[in-house]
Amino acid sequence: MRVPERFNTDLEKILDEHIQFGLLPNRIVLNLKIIESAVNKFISDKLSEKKVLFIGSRTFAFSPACATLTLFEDRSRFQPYLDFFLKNREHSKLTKTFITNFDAVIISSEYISELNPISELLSSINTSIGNLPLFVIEYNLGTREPGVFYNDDGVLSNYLNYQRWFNKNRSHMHTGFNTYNYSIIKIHDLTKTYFTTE
Amino acid sequence: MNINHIRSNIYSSGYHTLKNYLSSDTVSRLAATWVSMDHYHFDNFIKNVDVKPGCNPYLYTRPTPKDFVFCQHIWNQPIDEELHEIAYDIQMMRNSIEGKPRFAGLHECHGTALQYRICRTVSEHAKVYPHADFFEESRQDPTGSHAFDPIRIQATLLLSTFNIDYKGGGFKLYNDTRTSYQLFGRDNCASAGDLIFWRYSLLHEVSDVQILNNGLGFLRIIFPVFEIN
Repeated sequence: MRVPERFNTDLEKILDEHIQFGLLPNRIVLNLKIIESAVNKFISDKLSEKKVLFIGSRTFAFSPACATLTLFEDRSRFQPYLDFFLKNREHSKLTKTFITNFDAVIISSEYISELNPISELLSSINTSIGNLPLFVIEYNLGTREPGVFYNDDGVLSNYLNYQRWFNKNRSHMHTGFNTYNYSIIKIHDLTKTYFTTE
Repeated sequence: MNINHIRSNIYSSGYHTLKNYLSSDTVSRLAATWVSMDHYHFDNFIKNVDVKPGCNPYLYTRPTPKDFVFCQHIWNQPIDEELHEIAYDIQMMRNSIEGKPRFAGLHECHGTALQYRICRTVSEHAKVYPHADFFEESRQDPTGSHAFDPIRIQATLLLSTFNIDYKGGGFKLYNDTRTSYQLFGRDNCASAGDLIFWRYSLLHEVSDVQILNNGLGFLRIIFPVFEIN
């Protein structure tokens, strides 16, 4: 797919590959490399030498320096793409045993907002993370009022649920929490022992 | 409607045609109504940037009085209720394909508004110059942001047929490399009653139309969406 001149020509290939596997050429795909770069930098800067789990990794191919990163994505719309391009991605086991293998967890806000509030997976995430360092990524790709809406993928997304989950996880942080801002994303540090992280 | 199949066609090949979306009776009725439409129901030309919720339907004719564009907004009292209903249906289909809520463009809460334009070209020198929308091309009179957005698609509902009502040219949709184009009706089997969804960011134009048999010329309806907030 042809792209305007100011974009890197790599984007044409990225768009074509996503379209080929039934994904919409949305704003996250348009900004894929920028987001990958920001996450790589965050992990390298803040989670160096750690074993990190990223939940809701879509079609990103992160490659941070100085950290071991495991990507988890189980949403069916991404599977044809992932099966072809990123075969080693985790998509079937998000148990407590699995999660506690890691030193830190990063989770995407749009992944949480797509989960059913009574889903076993959300329950598993909530009970398994415990005191593990927890970071939440939000994409700055247009303002949305809290609600239930069709997201950039054309999938129903319950941002109200995400907000409740977010508020529950930050409710004890009476002195606030750290947020790291990048051009397309922001990352909140929701680690339960927040006062010791920075 | 197989959304995945349609998406694949549009985002890979550039377009998807829904054959016989309208019956021949409906096509005939619409064509007869709009070719003889009374002009006094419509305001004079309004610039895109001046289109605001509540503004009246308008009409412009160029380069001759027979080359017309009737513009109706989703908030206007419809002068043709069947066409208004068709516009709703097409907009909701397009929303599904683009992954938007079905009401996008149909209610002010979404921040966008559908306009539908009944366009007739009968003069050979009438021309919609080659351009690509949502491809970061500058616009003198934009309908909103034209930032690169490859999801966006446009719909063209054909009310006349190549080699029956007109010949020579018509709607031309270029490929990604802009090295060749499809002339609808000549290079594919598109005809009156067909609905074409096509990728808005592809180069496209209307040109070289020659009216045939004292017929309709190139008569079609397109469905632009305006940012209204």
